[in-house]
Amino acid sequence: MSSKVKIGQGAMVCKEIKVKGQVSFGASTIIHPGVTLIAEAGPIEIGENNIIEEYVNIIHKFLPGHEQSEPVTLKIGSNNVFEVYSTIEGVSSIGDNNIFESKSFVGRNLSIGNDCIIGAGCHLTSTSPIEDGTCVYGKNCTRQKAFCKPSVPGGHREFLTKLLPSYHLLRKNKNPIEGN
Amino acid sequence: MASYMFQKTITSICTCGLQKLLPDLFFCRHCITLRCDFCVSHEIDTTYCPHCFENLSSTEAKHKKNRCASCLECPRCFNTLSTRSYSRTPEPKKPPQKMYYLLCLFCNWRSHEPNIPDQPTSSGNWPVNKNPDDGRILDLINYYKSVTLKEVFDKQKRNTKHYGRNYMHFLEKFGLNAMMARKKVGFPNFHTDGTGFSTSEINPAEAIENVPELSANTFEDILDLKQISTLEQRFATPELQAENTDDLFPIRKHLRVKHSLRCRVCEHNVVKPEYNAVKFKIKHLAYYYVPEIKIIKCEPLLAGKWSSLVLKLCNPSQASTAVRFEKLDLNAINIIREPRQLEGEDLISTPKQLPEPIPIVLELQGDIIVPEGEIKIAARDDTAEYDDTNEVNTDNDDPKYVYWRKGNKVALKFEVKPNENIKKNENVQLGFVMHFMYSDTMLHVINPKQPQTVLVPIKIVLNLPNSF
Amino acid sequence: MKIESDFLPEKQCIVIDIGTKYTKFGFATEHSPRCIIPTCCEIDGTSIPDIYKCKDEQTLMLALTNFIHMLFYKYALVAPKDKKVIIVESLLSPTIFKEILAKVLFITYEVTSLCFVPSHCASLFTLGISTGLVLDVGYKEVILIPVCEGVPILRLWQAMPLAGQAVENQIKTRIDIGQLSDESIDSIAEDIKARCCFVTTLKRSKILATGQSVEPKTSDVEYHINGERSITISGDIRETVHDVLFEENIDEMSITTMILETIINSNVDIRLKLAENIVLIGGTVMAKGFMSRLKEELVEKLKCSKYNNLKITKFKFHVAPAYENYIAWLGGSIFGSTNNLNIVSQTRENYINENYVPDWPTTFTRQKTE
Repeated sequence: MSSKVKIGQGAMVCKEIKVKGQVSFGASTIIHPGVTLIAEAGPIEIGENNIIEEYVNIIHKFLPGHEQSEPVTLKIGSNNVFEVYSTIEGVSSIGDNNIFESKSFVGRNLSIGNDCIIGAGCHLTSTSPIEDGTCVYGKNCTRQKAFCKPSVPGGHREFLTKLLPSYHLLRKNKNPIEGN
Repeated sequence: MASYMFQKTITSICTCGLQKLLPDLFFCRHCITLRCDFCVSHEIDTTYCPHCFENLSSTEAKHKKNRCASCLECPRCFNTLSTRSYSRTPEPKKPPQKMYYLLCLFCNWRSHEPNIPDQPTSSGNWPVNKNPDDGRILDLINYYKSVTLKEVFDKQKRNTKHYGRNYMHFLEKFGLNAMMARKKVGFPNFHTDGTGFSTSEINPAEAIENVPELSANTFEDILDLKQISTLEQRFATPELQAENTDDLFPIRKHLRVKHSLRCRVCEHNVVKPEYNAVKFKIKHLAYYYVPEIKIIKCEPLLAGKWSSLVLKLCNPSQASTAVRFEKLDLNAINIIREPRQLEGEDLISTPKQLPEPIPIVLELQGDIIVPEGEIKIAARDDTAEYDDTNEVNTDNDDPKYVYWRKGNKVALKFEVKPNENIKKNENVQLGFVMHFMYSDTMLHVINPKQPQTVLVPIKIVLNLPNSF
Repeated sequence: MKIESDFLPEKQCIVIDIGTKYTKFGFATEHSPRCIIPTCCEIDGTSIPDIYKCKDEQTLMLALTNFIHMLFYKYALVAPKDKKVIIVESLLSPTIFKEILAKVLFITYEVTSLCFVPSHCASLFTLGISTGLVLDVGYKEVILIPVCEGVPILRLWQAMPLAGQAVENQIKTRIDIGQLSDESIDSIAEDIKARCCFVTTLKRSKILATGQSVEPKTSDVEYHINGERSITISGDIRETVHDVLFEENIDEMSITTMILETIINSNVDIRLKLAENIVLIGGTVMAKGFMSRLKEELVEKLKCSKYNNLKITKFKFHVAPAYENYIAWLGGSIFGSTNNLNIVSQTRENYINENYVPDWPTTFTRQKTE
């Protein structure tokens, strides 16, 4: 399967990722190795300043039986953090400034607003949208108000920009390689 | 490892009658019997904070209401809060000042939520929430205290009438000496008629007729569930029970205790932890004394047919032991339990009221043939592991029962026959009694004799899967 | 005279109020319980969700032993040996429960003295009054016992299974929570009850009962279950689930008629006093609007011919300096701070000699003085 990857300015995308379909990375986005991005049901557009950590799965597929539907673009906003092993499966949209903590799972047809936190291990399969400024946590996926905007510690991004290139091969925009 | 430790295939019946796994049992070396956490008395050894591991004395803990002075818990998800800092410059000319706030790394709760101001020190004098009704309750307590005191006084006054004219014996009883002392110093005397007890007056609560109504916007307002605290969050601080998540205050971490366990019968310690360390001063776990039993081979169980079962026994102690088996007699199982005594030692000095043993209710679903005679098991020898020769004396073993032998381990053959009416996929419960030789190595103060050996019976229940 | 410190109970005294759903636990003389925890425990890894449901004596004993163990070693952090214990209990709690609890505390945990305080009387300590109509709306049942000059009038007790559980059953039948384990359905129903529902006014309830809609309409709430799905709880359900408490059954009994029946059966001299000293305790009365609805219902019912000659025009309610769900506990705490505790408690020696628990705490006092 061929893939089309578009990498924005200043974005760092490790080579060891799986990409299927058309994916674009916004400026200054950092993609760690081991990430899987599947864009079968239309292109995935990842905004600016996102951090996608190891073994994150972003899967944009049609429901089985609906393969012939009209392709839709999955838009992921800016300044989101996807922590290790979080899985995004068939969400309709993701806003800005969200944090998906480790091993969280977000299911189909769920739209996520801005400034949300999906807590570690939360398994969300309901379709009711997550409003702006919500914090989902705990084993019952309790939703409560997040008081202030979630943020990544300041030095983290600089640290990654320095460290990643010295240990990993990066994808370059100029010669889009065939997907693996 | 964990799964095999918690599988309830082989359980032992404790002296108190509960079925427990061997790792959960203790062995009282004085009563020479099994104990479990249900039948020992628990004592509090040390109090510590589960987060910062600081040990607190019991009075200190009592004073702090069993809460840690430095660690705080998130009021929303009950994880430990961490302190975060940032620097700010209050005035352009002054050096920047470090300010601290609290953050829950799990659910992102911040101390800004209930409007707790940031603190200039990292330990932070985080505000303690106060019960708004403290004053009234204190008044009530004082009022009732004085009322009961008055009652006591009145009663004593009534009783005095029955005594004769000699007042001397009242001197002690009613503190007349104290009264005289007061007189000397010049304090006013107590009033003997009881009026001296100025029962601190209290206004009885006024009942209200105009009860609070539902506010008009209760109906129309859109309820934001994200803003409403759960019962668990409310009950974490019973005196506040805030309904709005914005009003949740950080909770001080609740302390925990290290237990030391004491045998109820002989009052000797069974387990005693060491202060300030994850170690034990005393730990008489059954695991260190009682041969451990494991199933190594079990033929498919068929209703009404004999099949063989091989159990491995492993002697954990440093002394060699011997085991002897016996069938479990269901009729006699509940008769004798308490304790076996060593010669010349009086275990129970003062008769005590002990909890009644729990009646053992067992239903055996089959028959078992146990090995006959005494079977010796060698002592545990850590160096034997590296010994390649593996020379074990097997001369005295009856090959009918002993399958193999290796170091401190021996495999024994049993025969089991499930009942005719056994259902498929239902476990077969079988039992037997294992007597093992315990050589008492303790120094007997009262009776300095040679180490004695005692046969300790342990009731073993097997729960064999029957899935064939 | 000032209260001398040597008159204070010298040892820490523990106050426990074991409710059907939640247990309140703390130390005497303190102003609020240390914790409110669900009344459930584990026996050998299997959890017992409701201790009061244990029918078998042996299981009840094990359950209580484990539960008390948890209270002392996890929350109180004191060894129960040689401590004083106050149990705040309902006068209607089963004798077997009381006996086994005493056995566990005296024999297994070796407490020095034990005192059972009736929750209805203890509640009045928090108000500084001695006469009142105490209505305990707990989880399983509502119990009404009038107290006159500190003495409960047992002749007039009333109890009905109309409490938190009835409300939760309403929620379970009217809202489709989905296919989940019983325990999680129970906890979700409880959560919906506590966070979404309130007690509507009589006027609105009457209109809603006829199937019409009212203005302003109560807003619907979207409720999320475990992140899997979300349900909409309609406004009507939100305001009417508590109505089951006020609905009359076949015998024309409801919380309202319970109160009125008690007043009508009581002595003429205290009727007015009871009506003007109603004390509501128990967690269910904390539902928003409960008190005002009860008052409305009472006033409405007074118009009935049956209660017409009561000569009562108004009802007055007390508000204690505590949340309703731990009023009884606070009463126990205040009681524990007084000297009276030493007089009415049963001591360990006494229990071992007599081998029974008195029905009434004063039984022993009488014997002592005689």
